[in-house]
Amino acid sequence: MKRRQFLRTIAHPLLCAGVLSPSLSSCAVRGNTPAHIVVIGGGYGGASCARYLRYFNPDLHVTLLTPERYYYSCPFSNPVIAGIEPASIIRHSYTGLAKNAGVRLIHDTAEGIDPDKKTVQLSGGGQLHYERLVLSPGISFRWNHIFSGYDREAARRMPHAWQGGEQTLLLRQQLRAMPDGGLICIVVPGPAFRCPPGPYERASLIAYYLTQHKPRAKILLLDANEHFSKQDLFEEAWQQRYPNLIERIPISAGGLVLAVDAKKMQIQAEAGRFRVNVGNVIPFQQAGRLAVDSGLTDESGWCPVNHQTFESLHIPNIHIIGDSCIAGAMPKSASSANSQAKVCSLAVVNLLADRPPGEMVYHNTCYSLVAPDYGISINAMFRYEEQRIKLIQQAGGLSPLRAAGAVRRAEADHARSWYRNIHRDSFASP
Amino acid sequence: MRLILLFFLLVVRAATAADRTEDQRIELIKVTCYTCHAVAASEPMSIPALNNVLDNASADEIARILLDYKYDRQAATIMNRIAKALDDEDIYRLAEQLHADTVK
Repeated sequence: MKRRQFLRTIAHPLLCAGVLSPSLSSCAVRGNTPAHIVVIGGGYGGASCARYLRYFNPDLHVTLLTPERYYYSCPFSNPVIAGIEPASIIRHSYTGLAKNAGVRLIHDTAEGIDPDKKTVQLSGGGQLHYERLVLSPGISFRWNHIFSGYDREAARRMPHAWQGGEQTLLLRQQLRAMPDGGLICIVVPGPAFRCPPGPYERASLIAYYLTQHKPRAKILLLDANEHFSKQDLFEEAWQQRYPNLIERIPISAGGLVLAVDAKKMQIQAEAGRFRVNVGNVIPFQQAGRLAVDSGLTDESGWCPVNHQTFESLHIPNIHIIGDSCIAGAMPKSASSANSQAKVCSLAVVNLLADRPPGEMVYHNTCYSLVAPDYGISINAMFRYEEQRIKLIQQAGGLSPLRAAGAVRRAEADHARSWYRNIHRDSFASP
Repeated sequence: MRLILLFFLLVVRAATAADRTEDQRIELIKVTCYTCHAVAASEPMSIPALNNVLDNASADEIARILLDYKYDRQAATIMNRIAKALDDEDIYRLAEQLHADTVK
């Protein structure tokens, strides 16, 4: 066997398997250029993925494409709305990813993807070539879906506040401006939607605000669902902390909204017509716009993916993580997005080196605040099994019911600590 | 001779690939810790930074901490629920990796 033939047929696979060299980064090199991975979307999924691609293979060239210079998070936007935390708490810079993780940042918008040429077209001109592309485009809203009268214009009067930033501040401002004795209506969409416990945490913290500042006001939840995440824990807390302040109408009792009139501040539900002082209308949702426009979604509006690699089932070499993907029992949360980013990063690094993707483990932890001193949690662990993300049955669960105040205070502190830490982890901030 | 060498190398390769997959799985579990725990922090945190818990602890001591959560010998809010997802063998291997990080 000639030396060159030996290198090609035996030595290269051994190198890739780590037999001949502890470093596998060379296997992700095409020609003399390290592989280029483009990550689109600067939320928890995209930021974490960009960081962990470089963690699992520091030789990779990783570009994070996101239009804004700051990310405004949904986690902890509810304490901002309720005036418990300053608005600055939800603003995150990307500079840590560049400085501490070696990620190249491009602040631009992806106009389109050409999967045949493996390029991303930028709205500012030019294009990016990728070996593999990771999309973490979050959610987009299905305006005028199920209920009529709610679009971008209506959202200026009745904010959804389901994407952090301007909408968060608008809802906070409306709460402050409303009269004592007014009615706040939160419209909860049907599944699937980002942050399943979010509307109920929001109701809780707005109730906290009302007890402090407008004790005669009320909250109405018009809910397109029958049951909800952490329901027993929330309802126990509402009974203890906010009796008769929060009314919830589930779908079986007419909670489905049919029409919204933002100019008249009226909401028509199956249960009747409600005139409100503050309308927080959370629309039905689907995958982020780029995923929809690129043909990555199915009839559900979300993106089917291989659960081991998060590679699209529609287009090869494109991976979708975070809220946009269909990830089995994993909820659409920041924690899930962070976990999926780590799994996807490992898979991409292995696939580039012509290795199997790996044995995957996934995690979700979600804290909710009911009051500044009252936290509750749900968490779950998953593993890849039988080609699916499967819940590990003996693990995970909820905070206990009827827990002591010290437990609730500890979980409220943990919620704040979790938020700081997931931010550090995802954005490589100090 | 060439065939024997090839067979030997392929067996070694398969064994090494299996070890690598297992090491990566444990590493994935390790970086899952980082979602909720800072790797290092100077200030006290409600969810403690790993350096504040694990520095100066041996791999066996780290494993014992995790096993105590798994078998409810140590009270916690959610660590008991998380540790139950791990086999004892996973916990020992995770403890080794966490310990190796603290002595780097």
